[in-house]
Amino acid sequence: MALSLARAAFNAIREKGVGGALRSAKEQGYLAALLDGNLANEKFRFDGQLIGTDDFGNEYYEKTTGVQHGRHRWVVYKDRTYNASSIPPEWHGWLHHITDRTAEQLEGLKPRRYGIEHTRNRTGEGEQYIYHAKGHALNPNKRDWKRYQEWIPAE
Amino acid sequence: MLRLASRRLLQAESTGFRWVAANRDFHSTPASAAPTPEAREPKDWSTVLDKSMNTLFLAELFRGMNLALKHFFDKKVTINYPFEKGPLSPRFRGEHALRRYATGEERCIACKLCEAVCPAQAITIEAEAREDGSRRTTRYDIDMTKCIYCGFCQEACPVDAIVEGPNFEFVTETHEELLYDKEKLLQNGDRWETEIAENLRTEGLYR
Repeated sequence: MALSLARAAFNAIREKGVGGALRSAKEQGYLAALLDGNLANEKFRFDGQLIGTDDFGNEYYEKTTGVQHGRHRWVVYKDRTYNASSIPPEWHGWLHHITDRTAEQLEGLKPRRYGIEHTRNRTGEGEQYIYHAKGHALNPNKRDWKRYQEWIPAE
Repeated sequence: MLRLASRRLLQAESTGFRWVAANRDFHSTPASAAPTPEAREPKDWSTVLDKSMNTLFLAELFRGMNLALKHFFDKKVTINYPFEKGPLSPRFRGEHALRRYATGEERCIACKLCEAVCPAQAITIEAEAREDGSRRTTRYDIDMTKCIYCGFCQEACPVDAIVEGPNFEFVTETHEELLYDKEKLLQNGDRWETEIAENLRTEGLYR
């Protein structure tokens, strides 16, 4: 890993110069990985084979030989604050080892006449991002479940 | 041991069995019955030296630290979770979803079998006839905090409408967000249909 990391860094510096290499490293999130061990573990893993990229820009890698079983598929998140729920259903099964079919192979199962875009779990980010069920206190169209009629006393 | 017990018995007899609480202590040997010189185990100089060296140089401590250091350099087997994910079954019972037919028509016919079978009584359904005369739910609520994810609802469903999808990352900050209504469940179905269909296709042979 160290050798491939050094080679990648050397190539980047030779191509773009020190300043350019640093800038692109920052843009691609490599500098953030220096402070985050878990992120670094995946960011500086150059030996995987790129299997595909989803609509959000997350990249899915695989390495089948010389890896501990169960750690041979991984994702590099596009988003800086990586969120596990941002993986769309086409790739979710592949990443969880449920199926070996990739998103291209599952294209035929995608519903044609309905379906909505995948969104990550945005709980805790603000009131406007969460789903307000019909009984939620913040729902302006909160449904009235009253099942009785009030007694209006005769005048 | 036998000698000690008999000695204690003799002693007790001589004091006339006066076992009052104040006389009791937690030592196995009474203070008065100190071991005689010949009962003590013999010590030679090498044993004494060994024991004091163990104490002086914290031998046990370093043996423990050595073991910890050995495991520090071991190969790690932990899965780096948000990047690598653990294996799941195609039958995994996660977040609920209401499915649709390929035309976009909702599958649920409000038979209320899932409501009846639900052991946690987490499902609430109300139904009435739609404008075109078909029977549909006007209310389909699942309290996800009551649900025990047993999967009985999807077993009971005659039209494969309610399913438990593969998603388990639906944690919320407030309790209210976990009280799912019909719109939310249909949204889940619309969002996860690709993978739900794939899992049903793989498992179709066995169910």
